Amino acid sequence: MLDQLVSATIDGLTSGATLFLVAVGLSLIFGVLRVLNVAHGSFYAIGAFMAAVVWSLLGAAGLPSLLIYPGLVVIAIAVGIVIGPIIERCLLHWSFSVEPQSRREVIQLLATYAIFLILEDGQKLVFGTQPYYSGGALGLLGTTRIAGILHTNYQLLLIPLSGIVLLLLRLFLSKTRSGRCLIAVAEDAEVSATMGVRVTRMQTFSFTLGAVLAALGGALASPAIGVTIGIGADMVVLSFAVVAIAGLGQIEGTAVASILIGVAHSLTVFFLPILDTVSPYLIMLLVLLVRPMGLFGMQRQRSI
Amino acid sequence: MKAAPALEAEHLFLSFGGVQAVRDVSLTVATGEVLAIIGQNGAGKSTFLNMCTGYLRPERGAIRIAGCSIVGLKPRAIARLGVARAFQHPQIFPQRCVIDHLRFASAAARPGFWNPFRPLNSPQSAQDVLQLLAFFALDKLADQPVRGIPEGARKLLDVAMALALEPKLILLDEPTSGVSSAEKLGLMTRLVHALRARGVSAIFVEHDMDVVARFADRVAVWVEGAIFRVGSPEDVLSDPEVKEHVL
Amino acid sequence: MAAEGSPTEAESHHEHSSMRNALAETASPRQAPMRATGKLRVSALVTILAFCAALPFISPPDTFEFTIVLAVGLAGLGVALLLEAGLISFGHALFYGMGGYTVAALAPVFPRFGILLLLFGGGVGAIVAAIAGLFIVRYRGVFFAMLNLAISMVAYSVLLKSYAISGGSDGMVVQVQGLVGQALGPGAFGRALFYVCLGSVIVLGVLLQCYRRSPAGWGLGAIEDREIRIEYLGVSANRLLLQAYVISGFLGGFGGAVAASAVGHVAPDDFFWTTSTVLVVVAVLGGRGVVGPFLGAALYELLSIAAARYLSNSWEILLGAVILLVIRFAREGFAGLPDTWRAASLQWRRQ
Repeated sequence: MLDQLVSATIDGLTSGATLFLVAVGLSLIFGVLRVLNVAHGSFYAIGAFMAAVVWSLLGAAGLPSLLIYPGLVVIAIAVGIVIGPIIERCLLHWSFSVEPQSRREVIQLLATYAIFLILEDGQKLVFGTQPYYSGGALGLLGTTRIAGILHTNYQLLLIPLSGIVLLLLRLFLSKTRSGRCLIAVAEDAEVSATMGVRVTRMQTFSFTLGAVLAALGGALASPAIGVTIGIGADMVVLSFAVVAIAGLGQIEGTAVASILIGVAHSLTVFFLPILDTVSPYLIMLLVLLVRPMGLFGMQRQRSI
Repeated sequence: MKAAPALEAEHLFLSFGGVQAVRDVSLTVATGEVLAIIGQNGAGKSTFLNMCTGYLRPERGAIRIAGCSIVGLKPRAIARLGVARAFQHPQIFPQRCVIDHLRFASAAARPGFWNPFRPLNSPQSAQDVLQLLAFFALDKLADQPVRGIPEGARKLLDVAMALALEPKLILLDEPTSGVSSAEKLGLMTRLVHALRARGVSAIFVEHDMDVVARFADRVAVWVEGAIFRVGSPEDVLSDPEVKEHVL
Repeated sequence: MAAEGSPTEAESHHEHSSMRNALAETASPRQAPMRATGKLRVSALVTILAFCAALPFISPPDTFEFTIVLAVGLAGLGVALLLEAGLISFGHALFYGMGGYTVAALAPVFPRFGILLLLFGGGVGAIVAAIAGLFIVRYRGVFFAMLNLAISMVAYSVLLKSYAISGGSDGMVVQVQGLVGQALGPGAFGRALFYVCLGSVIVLGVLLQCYRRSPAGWGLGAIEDREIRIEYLGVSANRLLLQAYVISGFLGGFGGAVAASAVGHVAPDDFFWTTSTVLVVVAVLGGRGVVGPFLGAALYELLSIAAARYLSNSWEILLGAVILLVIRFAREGFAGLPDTWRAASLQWRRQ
């Protein structure tokens, strides 16, 4: 019983780690652009597909296996850098000037939803409908036995890796000039513009950064999952649940919420399998009932 | 037994972050009384109205409407108690036409609002709506979307909506700002006359001392979140200290 | 980083022109031409309805498609109704699927009373909407959209798992043999279903139009403009929204029930987000109002027929592109195109 508990918790932490990468990207984009990116799950899926393809290509080419891990990261960054700016500039940017604000929100939701549809079908065209497995990458780093159950070192490493990403992101936002500009735009785009912040550039940059984080989540998760059509749709709802629980735009909160969701999910898989797919949403429902702005979100009073 | 006053506020406190926006404010408005609030921008006047209508919750203190405590109630519940409000920046529906605003407000105050088969322009309220339009000289704009009408007309529409609710107490935040000075006095004369005829108690925030002197029963002077003086317009407006602080 | 919601100042209060100017500027009342366009609209509507009623005779083999257009239009009408409040639902497949599964479950009980089954489908949609709505109508914007999606995804996964009740991924066969007590042959049933559906569309359309003209219907649209003012008038915006949500649940359920009766089969895909996509596209493509979504559904059907012939592998790419084009260039949908064009040409002439 205790063994199972420990093992379920570790499983939850590893899945929470990749979930965090995706969700924090979603949160970042929302914080700066005020756009909920429905296409975010597709970035995750494309990252995963590309990683699986790279794995099989590099494996076939007979490259040393340890080169593959940096390859996963590089491919994720490449995916984000290529599709992020294109989508933001060409398909989303026009919507920032739509008035009134309530209409703008609907228009932007529809726009990212449309992008999501295009990317989902695009994946089918490019990668086909057969699932990809790159499970080989899991075993390369060996395994560790914790509480009597074997865990792959690869998955265990995801936990500190996500911690590092969180740390880097926090350092970037508070210590560097562009990071501070980003926060300023998130607080108030109009005022930042008058202070000389290049708002447009910041918006493109943060959308790209969010896309990179989502693709990274997908690339790192790909060895542990079957990469198949549809993972993007599931992921966008799941990462929205995380972000809603944390409060939109809360970075550390997103980490806590990802762990919460990850662990709760794996615990229900072990102990209450009926509820496994439903558990993240039940948690979201409970949290939102008690705190509509999420666990760490703050209500902003509008002036009237 | 004497009836409870229209509004009683006792020892209200509220701060935003470190700024003490309202400090120990106590104020009573008798039934049928018209009270003016004057003071510089940022003195806490609108904050006070926001607390009386449930938009902000005071940190300490009590507010009673006709003897009924309203602290913690939502704006909607307070509106249902017969408190109507008009805003400094008119809160109207930009895409809708003028007359529908009043039809809607009028329907909101009557039973049958939720009946899906009763049209918005029901004959029961048609007369009242036309009267209000004429009263505020909005009748020629009736079918215009409010997005395009001038600021003065928007303000009046906002006030007209508040009146359409047939309130017992009405809170008006600078009701005539944006209205030309030529029309201001005439409009206020009719407005206050209408309030008195219906026995509606009123608080209005105002910057024009002429208007205050002419129409208020009493004046409350606000300085830095607290009430500095309360009294009849003659006494208060001639007070040299008030002149120094406000004028 | 900041939480949601930036302070929105009141609308432009720059125009400090005086009252008198305004009165001088106002045009004379335009009552007469408005009444004329009203009459024109009614006669246009009657013509369209007459044409629709003749469709099964014009092209008998396509009766099934016509029925589906009406069914999807009804469900899309539910999405469009919420769009009036400035809210988009990405999960209306929930009600559509519920309506269909209700018919599938109850068809063995009332196999010859299809009309009853359709009403049950709508009723179950309304009940589910009332329950989910208690929670969902508290939220706006992205939360409203995504919570709808989340609830429909949960329903989908629950459905897949409860094999004993729902048949799992196989779905269920719907055996409706008649509509008002008589068993009908397949051809006659298809035609009868079409006319029942057309009749329902007319009745529901009239009822909905009544609702949209009532104070509550007007208030629903005002939510998009300025919710706080509605509250200050003593009206609960959440309750306005709940009323509309239940209506839209009924429409979704009814549409799903019609489609299930026509197809003769229900599957978990009816609950999947792809079905919600169809309803969103229909609502956005068609535009606001009662007629728009049916126009949207017809366009959608034409589009899907064309796509099946030429672009079978990139159907959703096409849908995505259509959404992008509509929100960019025809924000009020096809029903609003005349207005959009008028506004555009006005702007053009001004420049």
